[in-house]
This record gives sequence, structure tokens and C-alpha cells, in this order.
Amino acid sequence: MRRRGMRRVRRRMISPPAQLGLGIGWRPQLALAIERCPSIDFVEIVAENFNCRAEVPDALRQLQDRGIPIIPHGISLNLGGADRVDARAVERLARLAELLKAPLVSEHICYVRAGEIENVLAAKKLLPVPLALENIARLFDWPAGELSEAEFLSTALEETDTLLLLDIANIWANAHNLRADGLEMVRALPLRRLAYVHVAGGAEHDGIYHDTHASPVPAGVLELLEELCSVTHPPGIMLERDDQFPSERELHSELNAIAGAASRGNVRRQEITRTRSPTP
Amino acid sequence: MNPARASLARQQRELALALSGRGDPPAGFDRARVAAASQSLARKRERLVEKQLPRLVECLGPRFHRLFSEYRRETVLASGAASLEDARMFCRWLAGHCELREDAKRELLRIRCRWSMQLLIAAVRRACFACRLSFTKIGGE
Repeated sequence: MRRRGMRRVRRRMISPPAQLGLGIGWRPQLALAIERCPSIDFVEIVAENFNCRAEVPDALRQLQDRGIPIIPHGISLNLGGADRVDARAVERLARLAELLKAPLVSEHICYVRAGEIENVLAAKKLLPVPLALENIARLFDWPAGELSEAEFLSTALEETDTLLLLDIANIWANAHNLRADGLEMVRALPLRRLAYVHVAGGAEHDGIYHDTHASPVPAGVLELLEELCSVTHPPGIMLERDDQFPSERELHSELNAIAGAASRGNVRRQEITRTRSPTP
Repeated sequence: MNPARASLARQQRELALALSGRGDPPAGFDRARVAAASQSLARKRERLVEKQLPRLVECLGPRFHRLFSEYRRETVLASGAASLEDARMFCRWLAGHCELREDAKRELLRIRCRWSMQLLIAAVRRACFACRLSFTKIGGE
């Protein structure tokens, strides 16, 4: 049978990485602990801290030799700004991705209605690998915002065909600070585009939770991570720690807690799938 | 810039000013929450600069927090500037704005000398690279 003409034109979605595993944000203060930790499958680096042109920095070469994927994470491309995107900054990120043979790169996406779609598309054109965008923490809402955070993210990621870097600690913080349901927010996100997950700890000041990346991951964030894993399988999950660096033992127990929450969620998801489709 | 972008740009400018502690948020924003976010950003910036300049901060002691708040209100950090740039600007501001104790003065001088040295080395490197490049081109032709 001739199928020509019956074929429907469908836009193909960019596919998330197959499997990244358990990761951590690489920081100079954590370098030794990371080097000695066998359970780390991938690392993420702050792209702005590596100004390299031709050679992989020594600190990262060892990780590369171990076959650990390195993901450059930009923090200042300003994709959500009203200004046009800075092509030079994007090109720097692109060079770094090529040099490190990164599977993807990531950046933040602010929550400011439309406008950034053009910036994301412009940035994507200059990048040699897929781009994942991260939801941010916010203490206040943009007044008269037309879209909810999840609606905004879904629209932005669909229209630009980019991946999702889900910061579960930010979702938990936003839910806590803006009195919303974290799980509901997670479920409304475009999870089929999920590339990896950020997990971090923060602290409460005057009734407001701040995602400082300077404290152990709170139980609430781990619970939300478990819930996330009970509805989808994130290709990668990683810990972010930027200050008040813990001892190696504490760091390992943080990573274990994350892996534990993820595996509890996985088990629940598999149970749900089994009960829904019982084998005859 | 189309009108939607222009209006968004204005709101963002005002919000950025409010977040850096130099103005009120645009109409409609939750003032208390914007103030809390501003405080949080200030703490973060202060902490990052402290990491860049640990010895200077030690010399300044409890004055550091007050001086940094003053500096933050008086200066504008370029968009996308990293903490190193913030630290540089703070040192420049500090040198021109207040009387410092001898040890702080010495440390400030040491830091600024080191940075000037780094800039000089980078410039020499660039010049060498440019020279080599032009020679290779001449040789190739």
C-alpha cells in the first residue's frame, strides 16, 4: 500500500537526554569531594566561571577522563530581558559546550510574559547542542500576569522547542511563599521535555523561604522530588550547593537522600503503571 | 522596540532599581515582597564580594556591611556583571569614599596592584597572540 500522501506533517520535538543519573553542581570548593565520590554520574558547571578558549581546564579534564558528562549552565544570558540577547555571551557558551563535548547547555528563563521567545530562538540558533531552560524562584508575582508560571513555561518551551531544567527547590519555594500547591505546579509543567532536575536547600527569613543553596535540602523539597519521580522519570537529578560548603560525609548523605527520594518515587510510579495495565 | 517591549523594558528598569535598593517598585507590585527580594539579593551580593575579598573584609570588620550597603545604593552594576566585577567596583568606590585604617589601606592597595598586574599580563598575551597571528599570515602568503 502506498502511504505517500497519508503521512502527516508533524513537528518533531527535541528529545531530552536518555540518562544522566545523579549529579552535582561543580564548584572549586567541592572539587575534591566530587573527585572522590563514585556515585556522581554528571556535573554541571557555571559557564561564566570558565573563560576557556582552546583547552579544557585541568579541574574538569579528570572528570572528562572518567567519562562524566559536563553541562555548562549559563547564569547571565538574560533571555527573559526586554533587551535583545547578547550574541557574544551565547557564543561563549557555545564554545564551552563544544570544548567540553557537553550533551546540552542550560540557562534560566524569567517569568515575564511574552518577549523572551525571540531571545531564546536567537540563542538557540547559535548553540551547537540542545538548550534547557530553568524555572526561577520568585518572591512576588508580576502584576496582571496573563499566564501562570506553568502555562508560561509550557508555551515558551513549546514555541522554542527547548528542554526543561526543573528546579524543584524553586517550585517548592514558590509554592511555600506564594501559597500554592507545589505538586499541582509540577504536574502542569511540560514534563515530557524534562532534561534534568536541580535540588537545593535554603533558609527561612521573616516567614519567607529563600533558596540560598547554602543549607541542607529540606524535607519538603525531597518530598516534592519524590512526587515528581512518581509521575515521571527525570533523566538527571543534581544537587546545587553554593555556600557554607558541607563536609564530604554530609555531601554524600545529601546525595544519598536525593537518590533515595528519587528511587521511592520511581517505585511508586512503576506500581501505578502495573496496576493500570495488569498483565493477563 | 515595539510598544509591548518598551513598556516591559520600563517596568523592568523600575523593578531592577527597586531590587537594588534605589527606588520604589512599579505600580501594582507587592512592595513588601519586592523589599524582601531586594534584601535577599543584597545579602547574596555581599556574600559573593566577601568571597572575592576575604582579607579586605576581615580588615574592615563590622564596618563592611554598612559600607557595602552604602556602595550598593550609590553605584550601578552593569547588567550581567559577575561578582569579580562587583568586587572591583567596590574597591574603586572604597578607595575614593572613605578613610580607612592602615591595614585595610594596605590590603586594598595589594588587591588593586594584583588586578592591574593581571590586566597588564592579559594585554601582553593578547599582543603576543596578535603578533604571532600576523606573522603566520605573512608566512602563509
